[in-house]
Amino acid sequence: MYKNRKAIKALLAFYAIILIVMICRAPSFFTFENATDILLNTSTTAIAAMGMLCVLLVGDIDVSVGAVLAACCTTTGILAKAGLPMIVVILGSLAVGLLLGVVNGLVVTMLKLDAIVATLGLLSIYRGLLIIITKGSWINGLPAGILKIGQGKWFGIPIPVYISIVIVALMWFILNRTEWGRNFYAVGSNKDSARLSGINVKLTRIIAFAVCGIMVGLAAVIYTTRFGGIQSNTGKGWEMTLISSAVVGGASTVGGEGDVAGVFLGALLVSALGTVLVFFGIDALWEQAVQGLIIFISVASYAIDFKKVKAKLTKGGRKA
Amino acid sequence: MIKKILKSNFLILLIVLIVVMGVMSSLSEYFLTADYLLNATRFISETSIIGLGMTLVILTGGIDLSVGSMMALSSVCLGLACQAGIPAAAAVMLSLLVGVLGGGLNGYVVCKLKIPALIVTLATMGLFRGIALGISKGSAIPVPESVYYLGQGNIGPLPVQLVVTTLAYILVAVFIYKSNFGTYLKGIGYNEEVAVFSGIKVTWNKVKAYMLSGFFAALLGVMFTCRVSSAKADYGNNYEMDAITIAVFGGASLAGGKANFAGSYIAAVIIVFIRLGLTTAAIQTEIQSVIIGLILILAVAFNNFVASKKQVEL
Repeated sequence: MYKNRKAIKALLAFYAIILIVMICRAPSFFTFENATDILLNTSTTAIAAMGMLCVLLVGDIDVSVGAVLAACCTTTGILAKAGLPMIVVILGSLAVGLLLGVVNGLVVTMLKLDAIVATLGLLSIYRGLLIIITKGSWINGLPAGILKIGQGKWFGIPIPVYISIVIVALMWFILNRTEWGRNFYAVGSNKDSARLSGINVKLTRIIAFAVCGIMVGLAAVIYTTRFGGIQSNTGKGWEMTLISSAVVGGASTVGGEGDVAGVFLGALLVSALGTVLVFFGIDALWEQAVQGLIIFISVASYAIDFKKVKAKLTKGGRKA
Repeated sequence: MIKKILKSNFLILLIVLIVVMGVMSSLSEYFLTADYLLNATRFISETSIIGLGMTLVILTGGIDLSVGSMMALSSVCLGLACQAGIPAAAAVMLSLLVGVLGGGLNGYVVCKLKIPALIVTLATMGLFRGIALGISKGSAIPVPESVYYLGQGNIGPLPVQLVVTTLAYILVAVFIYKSNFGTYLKGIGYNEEVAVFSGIKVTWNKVKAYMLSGFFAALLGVMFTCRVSSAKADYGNNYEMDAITIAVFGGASLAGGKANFAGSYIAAVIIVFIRLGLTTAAIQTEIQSVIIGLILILAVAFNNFVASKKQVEL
């Protein structure tokens, strides 16, 4: 909890620096269009990063999200092209996400595998099966009705932005106000004590993976309808984007640490960096290096602050 | 050392290897020919050397996601150094040094800031690849013919890569099984706090493991660049996944303290044989990824099963 406030403070400081530099160097950054564009870019990342947060909270990790995204995008595409109503398409994508998430959770908990190894194996299985099923073809030419989800606007703001705000609020409620949320934190902090206090640890971990799958399924609907078509290699390397978003937002890969606000700010930073760097006049070639450097610095800065405070506390003597 | 190898899952891996070779040779008549297999050793060596570094890091309880990016960075360094007119030998040394330094950075941050290795190397993964992209401007850089030997030459009848990689594996295995270094790494992997209190220099030993991982990734970068005769920043994408698969399939535990170098080598051979064999037999590449994924999960599940049985017996 405590470390997370540090992460949020550090992120807010980052944003402040970026904004100040922008005001001085590139006032053209501050347009309504640019802001909605950044939020639109953030929406899919933020939604899926919420799912990743749940998995990280219980102390696991899911590196198969890229393949799950591709599977859900394909489902969305196929169902939409079949002319089914929008609600069926959305539910179909969510169901595929849920199914794959539950499979992830079952393999990890039932076979007692390290989450990273299990989801790594499942990543290549999903991707292989997906291409075998779709024969690697691209899907495009979706009906115009469904494209509204990704491309439509209400009051000048893209619909995905509203969806992501609703999801973030919902996740905040689940993590802070429901039993599931508390179980996630408990399991991630200490599996043994969680079990001894009557929490079904395996079920909680499976639920976390399932939530992650559903979130990726929802992100997939937005992704597909926003770009109007998908390739079979959609989502390659996406797991790294999500994990960086969560980690920059103060989530720990060891479990039990992280919250919705931090992860949302993290996702915003990771997705906005590209645009910001363009306005900074940094060559697109260096974008990835700067991105890596910023993730590196932010993560390191949380650790350093944490240590300093700890040293101060031990110097001052522990208070009972 | 031999006893240790036999006690592990080495035998199971050998059986899997023989089965794979049997299946592949029935799928394609070219598979079991000397030419084919000798050529395959180039790929096997490239895949296995990156698994060697990963096995070392996993032994300490860490993980190194930056190996693929490090490979690209060292490749680009080699290309740029050659282009700048630096003699070939010095250029190779330079790119290997970059690997050692990058690995050292990973290890130092992991130890000093106490951040999980997964996060640190995730960040440096982006950082190294980004630097490689930035300094090469994203374009392919041809390397001079004087270095081709490292990727295309033969030592006697054997490809250079095979000799280099096998030597590296033997050296590392001897150091791990016969010197204190191995004991230290294992101790750190089992329980870092206990290692600290036993007087092991945890930071320095861990940094050494990450340096070796960076070094081997850079070595792969050099050999790969010399084989395909140009340097590029997008080499080694997803190689970290291959490396983890090899180490874990070979018998390493991500919890640390357990690794099997002979196992890693055989695991690399199996994976490359599956890929090459299925490609030669003109079977969809996607089926390969399904098979490799299944093998990874089943192998690890089986290892865990055996380990839990052993615990019950004790």
